[in-house]
Amino acid sequence: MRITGNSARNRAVLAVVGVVAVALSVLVFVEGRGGEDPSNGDASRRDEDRSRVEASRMTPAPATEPRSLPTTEGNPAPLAPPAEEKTLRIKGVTGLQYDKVRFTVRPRQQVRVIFRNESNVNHNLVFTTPGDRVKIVKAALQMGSRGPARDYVPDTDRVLAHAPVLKPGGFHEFTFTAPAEEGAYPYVCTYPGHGYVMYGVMRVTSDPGGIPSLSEDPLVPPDSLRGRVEGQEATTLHPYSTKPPIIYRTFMPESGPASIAVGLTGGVSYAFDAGRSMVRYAWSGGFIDNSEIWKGHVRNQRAEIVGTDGEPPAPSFQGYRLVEGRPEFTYEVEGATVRQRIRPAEGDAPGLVRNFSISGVQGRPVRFVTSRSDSVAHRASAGAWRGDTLRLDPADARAFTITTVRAEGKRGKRSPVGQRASMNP
Amino acid sequence: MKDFQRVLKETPAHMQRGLSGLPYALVLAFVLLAGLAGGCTRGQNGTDADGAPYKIESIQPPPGLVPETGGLDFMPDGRLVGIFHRGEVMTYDPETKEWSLFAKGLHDPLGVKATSDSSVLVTQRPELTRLTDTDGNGRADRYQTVTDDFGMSGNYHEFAFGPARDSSGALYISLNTASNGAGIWDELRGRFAPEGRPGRMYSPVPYRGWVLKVDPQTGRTTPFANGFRSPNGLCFGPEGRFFVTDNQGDWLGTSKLYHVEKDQFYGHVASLVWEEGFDGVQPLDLPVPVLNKMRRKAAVQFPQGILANSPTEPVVIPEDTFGPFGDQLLIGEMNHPRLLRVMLEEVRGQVQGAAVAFLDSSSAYRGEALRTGNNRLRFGPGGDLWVGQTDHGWPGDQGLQRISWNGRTPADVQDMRLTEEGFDLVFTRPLAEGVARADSAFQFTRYYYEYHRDYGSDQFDRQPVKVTGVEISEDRRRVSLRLAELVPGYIYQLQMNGLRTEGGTPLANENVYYTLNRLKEAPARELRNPVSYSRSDAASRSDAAFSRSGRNRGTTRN
Repeated sequence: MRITGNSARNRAVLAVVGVVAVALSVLVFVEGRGGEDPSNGDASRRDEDRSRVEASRMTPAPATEPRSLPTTEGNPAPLAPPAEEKTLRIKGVTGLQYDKVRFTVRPRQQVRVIFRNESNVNHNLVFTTPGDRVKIVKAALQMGSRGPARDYVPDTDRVLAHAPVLKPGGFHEFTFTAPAEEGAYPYVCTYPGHGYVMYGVMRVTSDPGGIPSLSEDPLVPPDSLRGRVEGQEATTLHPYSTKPPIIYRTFMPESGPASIAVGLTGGVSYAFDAGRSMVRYAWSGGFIDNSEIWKGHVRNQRAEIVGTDGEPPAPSFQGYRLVEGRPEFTYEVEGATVRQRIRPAEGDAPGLVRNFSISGVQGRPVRFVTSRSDSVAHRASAGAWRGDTLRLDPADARAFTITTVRAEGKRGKRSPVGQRASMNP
Repeated sequence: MKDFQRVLKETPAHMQRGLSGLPYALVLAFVLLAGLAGGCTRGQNGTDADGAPYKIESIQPPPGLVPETGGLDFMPDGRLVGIFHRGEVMTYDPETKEWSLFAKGLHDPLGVKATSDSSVLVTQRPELTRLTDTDGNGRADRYQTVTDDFGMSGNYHEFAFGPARDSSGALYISLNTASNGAGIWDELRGRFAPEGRPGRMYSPVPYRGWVLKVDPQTGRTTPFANGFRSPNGLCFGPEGRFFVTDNQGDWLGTSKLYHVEKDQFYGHVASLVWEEGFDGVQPLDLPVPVLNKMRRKAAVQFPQGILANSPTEPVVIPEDTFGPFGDQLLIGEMNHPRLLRVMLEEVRGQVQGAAVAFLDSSSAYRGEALRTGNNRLRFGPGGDLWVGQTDHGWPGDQGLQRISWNGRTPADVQDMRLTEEGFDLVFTRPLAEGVARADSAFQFTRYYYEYHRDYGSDQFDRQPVKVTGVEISEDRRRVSLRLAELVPGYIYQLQMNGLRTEGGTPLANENVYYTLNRLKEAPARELRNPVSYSRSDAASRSDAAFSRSGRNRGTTRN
């Protein structure tokens, strides 16, 4: 659920149209439960940056280049037969995380992994070659409709081993031989939207004492991504537990410069704007990542929202044609083509009627996400509203209409109109 | 705080080497001489390690804390309060060495003042906040906004510093200007002034580049003084004087210490956007001579790259717990592993004086080395100095160190005073006989830094000043120097050569920098009792090009 606040840019649009939130509505496709965001293209860069900054900050700095860990140089792999098989129990747990974010094995050691999904959403477990976690995550997303049948595991030799997608409560056991080459081999859940936060690292080394301490390991997720860390007073980020509720005054996107991010139990978070004394928006599934801001004196950084299903997929604008003098916009979202005609609503209240026709849905349900507001009302020709989100089955999604009008009886109670068009979670 | 670009603008290496290399050579020479003379046992640095007057001890931060120190203070019960970049407010008990979390989640807090054992004031980016533990569990549960009556553009450089407290209890905070290293957000807090947007460091929203005065009870916030760029250090000194440091950059040829008075302008032009009567005026268009006449000059300038690159918080040295420098100021320094010691005097109403490095020489202390990134200083109840470090994207270290004095008298310049004909130097210990040689022991160079829009400044009109007379007192602690000429508006850099104390200890610091704003008035003879301050010069400013009277004293909310 992405709840979009009214940014200055949006208000500028609204001033022209006179209707709140029209410009904010977006289409979101859901694949099964969750509907996580596969489009956070910045995540890999952020991840690299964090690795770099962590590596340079911590003392003693881990002498490892995160993307290409030293292998046998100066520390040859043992020629003796590898040690006996090692058994690892890894669980997918609530908060999009593995309970174990790191383990070591020796080169060429037999590894037996017992993977259990103890969370309430689907997960898999994919081991990759060093430095390739994000590549694999992206490749899994590009599988599109082929993904589910293949457990979102791309067909590439960058994947060393994997467990398939497990439903909540499921388990899977598999064995593989650890690579002969020492290094850091990521493991990750490639289920859409999970890969940027749910991962860990297998360190293949003949010198397990030589790896950085867990708190200094740039290849494990920071606590802000790990969510609920029970019973842990100090974390790698703070001298206190980061389990919710948690509060940061920080620079937030789509809010004023004096903002307060609040992460609540249950995975819901919101941004409060202390400049306007109002909730600007809320999201769910993850909290925020301050790692850019904590670099200090660099540029105008902001916190990044780590919502598991926050960002809608990025659409690709295809242009428009004129129908009765009005534009019919075309854009593509995840392989589907959306056409949208907009005309004025009939009746006294100003508003817009939007006709959508969507092709290429391929059996996927469709979500239509709006910004809830006191000052507008949405009406749909099909589907079912749940909160601010309209859910349509694939058949209904072929053609439907959304009518958005200014809500009567609300004018004048909010001043200025639209300023309070925010969502209380 | 330090400006990133400044790293690229440090004094050329050959100049630094030329200035700093010589003293080391002399120190080495003394080691040899002292060895020949069969003096007391000495370490490699030419002094008995146990004789070092100061000891530095690093404090271990608690697990999970990234110790980028934004503020230090002490609660009445003796616990240290430290605030850190990631938003933590921690307490540290020096007795038990235990850390405890008091508050968290603050936005880049950069100043703290403890008001009781259960309440502290913290300046964070968006506001001045009072944090109170109301239920006695040791953690703050009330986060109360004292004032947020100032603008924020979202620019990363808009730090907020303070609070300092005057004798009446009023609080003072300072607001950093924005940097053209980045722009501003679409959505601001406070009114936007387009005139405040141009410039290298700029003031797009109210009171960037100002010091504000805050009533701690009502939160009423009033503009106090302006013309600041990066005022990362506020303190009230002896006689109630208010001091603020500022960092080299545009309009600052070098870093400075200002003696700040109400309604005065201190030279950085961006803040004038919010000055009364400047509506619609682009301050950058004002002629520099006009601006130069408007501004108040710094009490002390710190030569860039030589003495300091980025001075931080000043503190007053206590009378008798930290060596023979009571009532002088110590100031943190980011780029060098040293502090700055400032010796002030008042000359016909103008506060001015000399600056010298402190703890710069390894012979001055034992224990661990002083770090760089010395951002926050505070004397504890026991008289030790606590120094908090940060880097925050600039050059520097992180952490917390405690510096104690063991009662030994350091070998140093204790004071430097302007006379009619030159300077009087007072030393902490008697000098050895014969070392104050008239021909070579004291060498002066003078130069000035330009006041202009450009970033930093070269040294202009740099030339040696001949020492025409050297007189030493009977107790050999005071040396009166006569100079060939004294010209106001210059920094007088003194290099001392070959001086050592009676016991054979070389001076800890051989370079002193005196900012000569104003000459002594003849025939003022009493060195220890400078002419009392009068406001006559303030009155004479009424003919400045822009009158500063009649400014609205209301709150800053727009």
